[in-house]
Amino acid sequence: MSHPVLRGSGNKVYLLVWVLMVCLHSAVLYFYYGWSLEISAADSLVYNLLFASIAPGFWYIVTFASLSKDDLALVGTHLAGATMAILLWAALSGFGLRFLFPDHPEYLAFLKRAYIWRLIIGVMDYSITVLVFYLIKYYQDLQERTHRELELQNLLKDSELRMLKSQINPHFIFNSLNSISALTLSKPDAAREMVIKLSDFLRYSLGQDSAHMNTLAQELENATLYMDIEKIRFGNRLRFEKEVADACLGVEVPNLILQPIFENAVKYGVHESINAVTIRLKCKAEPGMLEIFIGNNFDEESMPSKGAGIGLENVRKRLGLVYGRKDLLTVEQREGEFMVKISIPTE
Amino acid sequence: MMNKIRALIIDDEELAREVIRSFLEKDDTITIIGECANGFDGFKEINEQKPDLVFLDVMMPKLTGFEMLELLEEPPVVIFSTAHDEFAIRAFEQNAVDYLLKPYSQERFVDALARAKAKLALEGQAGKALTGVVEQSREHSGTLSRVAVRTGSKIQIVPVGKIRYLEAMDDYVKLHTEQGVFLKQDTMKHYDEHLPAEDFIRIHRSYIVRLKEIVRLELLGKDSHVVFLQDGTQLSVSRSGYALLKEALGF
Repeated sequence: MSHPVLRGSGNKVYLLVWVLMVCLHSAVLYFYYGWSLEISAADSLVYNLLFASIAPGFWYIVTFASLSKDDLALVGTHLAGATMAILLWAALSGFGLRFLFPDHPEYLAFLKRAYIWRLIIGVMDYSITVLVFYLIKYYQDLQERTHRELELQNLLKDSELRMLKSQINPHFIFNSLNSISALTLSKPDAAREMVIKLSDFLRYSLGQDSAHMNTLAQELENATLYMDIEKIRFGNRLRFEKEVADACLGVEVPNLILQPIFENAVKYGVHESINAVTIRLKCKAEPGMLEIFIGNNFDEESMPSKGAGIGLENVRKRLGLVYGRKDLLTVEQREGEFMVKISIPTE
Repeated sequence: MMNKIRALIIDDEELAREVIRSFLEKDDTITIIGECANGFDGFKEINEQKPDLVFLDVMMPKLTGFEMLELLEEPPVVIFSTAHDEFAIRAFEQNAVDYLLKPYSQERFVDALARAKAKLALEGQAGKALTGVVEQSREHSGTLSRVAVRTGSKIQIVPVGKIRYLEAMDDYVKLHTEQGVFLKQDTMKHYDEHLPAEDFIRIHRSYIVRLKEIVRLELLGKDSHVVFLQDGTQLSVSRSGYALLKEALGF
């Protein structure tokens, strides 16, 4: 915790306040009590500047007192601190002024008379200083806490994003390898082509850091690789159609954000249907928004044997974390058509 | 000369069938009698052709390999061929002779074939004594989400959400569903363990009921209760069933 007066920008304000106090103090002595200018100025300077130089030390009393758990210790700390500081201050100031004006009996008598008032003013000054320090300390604590919370939130967001990122389904890899194994016997050229496609797909999908963004063009290239591989596996059971406006291609999107949606379409469309399934991709550039539609027809009679929608839910959460909005993914299902719409803010 | 082993290949991917076909063609003791691309066709083919040996994928459209096996009265010798390693225990519980993980080598395949042949030879001596073994313990299959049933030669898939209640009938379980009533060769124990526990409750040795179906519970005599379902059906509640009901419904 940094000292508000000794460090940071507080020292200028502190100095200004005490200059004001010095002026006020001497004005009262000069105009109201009728002391000479010399005496008024000296009295004011000695008392105020001495207090001003002790007061920054109260900060340590405040920080020390706030460490103690019970109220009694807190009051005790302040009582001890205040008594010592004020008595020291009053004694030193009085001694200094007597030393400065040894041949001025009227003023010396005034010093004696005013001594009790000096103590009362000391208590007031102490209270005000401590109060201000408490406020500053409270503010500093609050700032630190919000800062720490923000940091924690960022950390959480980071790990959450990493978790939500699509993980390559191992069965996809093994099934693809099995297809390659078949092709090596009958069509070696096609086998080589598939190996290359699978390698490119894996290189792109495994080599990505979760926080990064890619252009839609890169993402679509990867998605096309994925669909090509699945087309080799499923043959004429799978068709892929795409319609992408050129204006969309340069837009940045979270990496691999589309992959789970394509996987979903293959899993619940192609895997569960005996008939051919067409997966359609459409990208449109709207003002301030990139809209991506991924749709597929599916067999309405088939029932997924395992819980659906985890992949989509992860995409929704990830979009929410990246863009701070929850309405960026919508799902529509009617008459044997399943359609996912993703909106990517472009501003 | 010995009869050739008649084999059937069931896999929804053409290339996966091609691998098996090409491996089998090198063995002249085996003849391929057909290939199927889904569980429905597989079920039909097996019933009509009675193959000796079936190569079976698990994840297929409509009907999984396991669901298809459950429906068969006389399951053939089965070698599973799948990319999913998590079904292996279940597969062996269903008397699979081997479990091939895609992709596999020819050596591994020949190994599996040898086991299948050994089993077929054994069965040839002892006669087909396999009927019913499929219904053995299936403790690892997790929570059920659908049940495959058969009416005549037609197969239907009943989602668990449509089951109203189950009734024990000797070696069968009678499934009362929104789609009709079906008989399935299975045990109450199996359903008691694998239906979602938060939705179903075993109120009696012979009854498992969906909690939401129950409209009221009445005292019939000393220590005997009866529940009324939404359609007016009355089912008796055993003493242990009453305790379970009490806990589930919190009365």
